[in-house]
Order: sequence, then C-alpha cells, then structure tokens
Amino acid sequence: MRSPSVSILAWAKTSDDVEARHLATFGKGFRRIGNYVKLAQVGAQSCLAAADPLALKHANVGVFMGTGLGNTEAAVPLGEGILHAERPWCSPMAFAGSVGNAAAFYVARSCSLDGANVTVSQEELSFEAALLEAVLALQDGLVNLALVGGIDVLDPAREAEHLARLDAVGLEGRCAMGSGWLLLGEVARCPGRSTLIEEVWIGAADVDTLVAGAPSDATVLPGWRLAGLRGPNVAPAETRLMSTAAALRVVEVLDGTERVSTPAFSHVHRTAQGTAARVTIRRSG
Amino acid sequence: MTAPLAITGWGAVSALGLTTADAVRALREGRRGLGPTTRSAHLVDVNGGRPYAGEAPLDCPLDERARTMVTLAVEEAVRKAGPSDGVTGVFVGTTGGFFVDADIALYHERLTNPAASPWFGRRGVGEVAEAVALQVGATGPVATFSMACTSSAAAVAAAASHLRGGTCDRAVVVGFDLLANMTVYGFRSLLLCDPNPCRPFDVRRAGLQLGEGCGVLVIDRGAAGAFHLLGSANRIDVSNLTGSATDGSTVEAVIRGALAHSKVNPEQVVSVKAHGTGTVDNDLAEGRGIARAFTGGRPPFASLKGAIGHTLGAAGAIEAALWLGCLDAGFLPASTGFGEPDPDIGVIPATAVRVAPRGVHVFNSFGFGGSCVAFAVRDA
Repeated sequence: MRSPSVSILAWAKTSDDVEARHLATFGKGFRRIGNYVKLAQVGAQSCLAAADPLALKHANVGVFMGTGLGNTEAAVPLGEGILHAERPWCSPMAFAGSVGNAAAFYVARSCSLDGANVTVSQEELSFEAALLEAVLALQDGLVNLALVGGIDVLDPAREAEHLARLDAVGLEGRCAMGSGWLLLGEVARCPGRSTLIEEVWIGAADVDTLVAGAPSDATVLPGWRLAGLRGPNVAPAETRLMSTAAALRVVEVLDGTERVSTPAFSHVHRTAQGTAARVTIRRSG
Repeated sequence: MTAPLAITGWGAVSALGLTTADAVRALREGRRGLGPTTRSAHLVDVNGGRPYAGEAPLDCPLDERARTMVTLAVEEAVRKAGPSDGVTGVFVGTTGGFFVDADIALYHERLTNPAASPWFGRRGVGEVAEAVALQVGATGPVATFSMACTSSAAAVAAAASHLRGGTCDRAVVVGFDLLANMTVYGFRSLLLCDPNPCRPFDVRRAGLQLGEGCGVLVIDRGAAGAFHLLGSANRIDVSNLTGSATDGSTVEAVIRGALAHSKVNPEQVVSVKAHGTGTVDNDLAEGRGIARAFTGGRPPFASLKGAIGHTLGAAGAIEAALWLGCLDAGFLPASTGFGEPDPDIGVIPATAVRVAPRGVHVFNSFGFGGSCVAFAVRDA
C-alpha cells in the first residue's frame, strides 16, 4: 500500500557482541534470556534512544516484530529434550520462553511499552510483513508510534538445519543473525521528518513486475533470494541468508553504512513459494 | 464512513466435528469433544498413557493430518462466503504451523530406528499462510501471527486493518494448531493440565486440556453478511510472561479498548466469547476483567474450551467461527464444564443455552507473552 503519511523517526541495528552490548545497554545481566531476546532488546532500546524524546512523550507505542524462524536457540533444544529417544524431558521455563512472542514481550518490558504488541512470522518476508502491519496500525489509529523490528538468530552448529528451514540450501551467501529496528510515526504527529515510508506492498507478483513497480528514481535492493537480479538501478543482492536480513539492510542504508545515492530505495524480495514484497523508502532534504 | 466489514463465511474443524455445523449441533446439545487421543500417534508417551485432549475426529494418514485439516476448514468457509472478484489476503494465526510434521516424521522414523534423532529442518510457521494463499488463489498480502494463544485473534484484528487500509477486498483468516509434543508436554511441565475434563470459571477448575483444529473466517469489505466485524484492541501485560494481571485490569483495558475502537459502549454488548482456559489465574483475571468492563449490566459470557479444549493459536478463529455459527443458528452456547461459582471471580458464565441476543458480541483472547486481544462483531 502507498503510505506517504508515515515517517521514520529513528533506526538502529545490532548483530555482533550481543552479550557486551546487552550489558552496556541495560547495565546488568538477565537470567534465562538468550541471544535472540538480547538481540531484540538491544536493537529496540537503541532505536528508542535515537528518537527525539518529545516524540515519545505520552505516545502509545506499539511493538511490531518480525521473525522468520523465531527463537530457535530456545525451541530447538526444547524439542530435542521432549523428543529424546530414551529420556524425554521438558523445562517449564524453557517452554514458556520459547513462544513466538516472548522476545516482543521482553522488548515491551525493558522499554516500558504497554501498547499493541504484534509478532509476525512470514518466512523471508517477516520484517516486511511486520512493517506493513505497523503502517496499517498507525493509519487505523491503533497506535501513535510503531517500533518495528526484524530479528533472527543462528546456531552455527546447526547451520544445515537453518539453511533447510530457509529453503536456501545451495544458495550463495552466508548465514547470519541480528536485529534491525525502525521507529515510525504518522507525519501529522512528527512534522519536519524527511524520511518517509512511501510504500509497503506484499502479494503475488513475478520478479519483473515487482521491480517495475519501484519508482524510477529509486535504487532497487534485491533480497538474498533474488541474487541473479540485474539492471541499471539494481544494487547487488543481500548476501546474508537470514529471514529478516531486510531489517538490517534498511538500517544500514539509512545510517550510511551502505551508500545509496538516489533519493529513494526499494527493497524487493520474495519467498520460496512466490509471495513477493516491495518496500520503498524516500529521503528528502 | 467506510464500508462495513462483513463476515461472510466461517468454517471449523475441531474436536466436535469436521464442520461448523457438526460443532454447533454438539454445542446446542451440550456435548464435549474431550477424551484420550487415539489418532495422534506421534505424541510421545511420557508419564504413562496418551494425553487427554480435544482431538479432531479426522481419519486420514498421520502425515496428511495438518494440511487436510486446514484445507477442509478453508473449503467450508469459502464455500459459505461465495466467490469474490477482489484481491484476497490471507492472515493466519498459529503457534506451530506445519512444524508439527517434524514430530510426525520422527515418529515414522523411530518405527524402524528407535534411536533416531529429530531433524528440525522445516520451514517456519509462515508456511501455512503460503499454502492457504495457493488454495484460495490469493494475490494480496499474506501474514502469519505467532503470538501464542492470541495468534488467530490477532490475525482477525490485522485483517480488519488491511481491509480498511485497502490492501485487499477479502480477508481469509485462519487459525490452526495440531496437537504437538512441544505443547502437550510443555503445558504438562507447567502443571497447567487438568487430568479431568476442564471446568472454565468453576471454583474446582484445575487446568486446561489441549485441543487441535482449524478455524476460518472470511471477511469481505462492503459485502452483505450476517455479521459485521467492528474494531479491536491489542495490549500487552508485561507483568508476567505466562498470564495477565489477576486483578482483571488488563482484561478490562483490552475489552474497553476494543469497544472504543468499535465506537460502541459496553451497554450495547450482548455476549462475550470468553477465553476461559480453565486455569486458576486466567479465569480469575478474565472473570474479574469482565466484571470491571461491564458495570452497568453484564452480558452473558461463556468459554468453549470445556467442549473443544484449548486449541492455542487456533483458538481465536475456531471459537469465533463456532460462536458465530451458534448465533446464526439462533442460540448462544453455554459455558461447557462449569458447575460451581468461584466467589473470588465474582461472575458466573452462561449455564444454559439461550436464544441468541442481537447486538454487539465481544471475543476475548489471552496468551503467553503477555498478549491480550479483543475484537467486536455486530449483528448486521
């Protein structure tokens, strides 16, 4: 959908030194919280810290978190325990912490947010789908501000399973983990902001149609499943094999880590089954 | 004035049968679908015996069970809704999706190799939405909500935002969860399972029974339909990962939020489909929340989990489909399993089937992760 009324107020990402960054962000350690939750908490807290405090004052802030595979570092050992051939066992705390929305719960708790809290898991389009939910929730009046994140975690020892779950066996790239976050608000509430979500679109489309729908002044940033995509305005494809890699890349363009010289950029991606997404972000001034 | 969001179709596979009509008939007669599982051979035998649960009476090969269940429920709902010329979006709520196939594959493998280890190289929970999109020929957005027991209620709320925002003209909302080892033994480890049929809101309640199934709602913008989806609210209670505040304050807030977003007042509400799990704290929080939200005349409320079990991420959609099916058939169901009031809760659910009242109906869902979702539906 076209959404020129939504601004990006702040952004942040985190992908390495999770333990140290978590300690630096919160000043203390937390028991029973793994990398997945820590990545989410650090990224979200950093994003809020980068925002104008006035924008946050008295705002109903919703959390919209996308994850392709969820908290696998908790769920996989739990499943192994329950399905153990000789001595099945299950830790109650591990079970409670393995639910899909646990990370969003801890983000809300650590950031003192009690508004809408949504976790979306739509394969390789999980961040894009969370972004669309956030934009719609803003326009539907369900929240004043939306903290949108994409997060996935990786156990290097289980890379084969990870690639199979991504349906990415044999694809070029490297497995990765991390979290990227955006703080969104309606333009009317945040005047003077110069970075806008111009479009978030998800649906059935072939790649040519998907790319043709990007504005002519936008650089096209292909997701990792579109590694063969070429064209005059097409940048190299994402190389991180991670469901929510788009969250990291969008932040990297916004913070200048990845240089894009056009006023707009369109991230495009699709799932193995064929559902496609296009996210266009425009900077002015 | 935006076009109304008409609920034009619904379908459900549950412990009460393979169609909504089967389940509505059972609810009118006060029958329960809980019992020892007989079809779910993949459930590992821990602590003796197979679990007591709300197992769907679906007879097909074990490894086809998940997809067959979804296909049947979607077919029923879409058939009732009729064709649509517009863009269709698919919105799914599930905790495990088709990941349960990993359980089932391991079960088959262990028939010949008892020491086989599990392999988790399965797609994520979004696989269900992609499959439904293919089934119904959807060209619009697909999204899967993985929010514990509020998953498919959140999908209903999101579908409304999509329809209002114009991303699609029809929304197919699906809630799905199959009985899986992870949840059966997870809830058992938390000591939240009642060994007897569950008794939501009863003073003797001692936990839940898990259930399984698939529920589907079809919502069309601007179409004619027996019910209109109004507004919703989504709140998080950060006090506890596994439950809402037992003073009822969060439940009250989410109900009031849904009514405010729907632009209706509490006096217009004529029924509440309760979440009502049968656990001590959920029912305390929800009962007190209902009492706080409706101070000027309390609408009848009931839980369906005593009849079909707790279907987790599917609960919001299955229970909405069954509730609407009952209303469409002219009656409001009773709260199955309730016997003795709990003075700590202070409110009593509907104890008998009654004639369906016309007005606004509220649908509650609560879950782990602090998730609280309510939405409102009005008779057209």
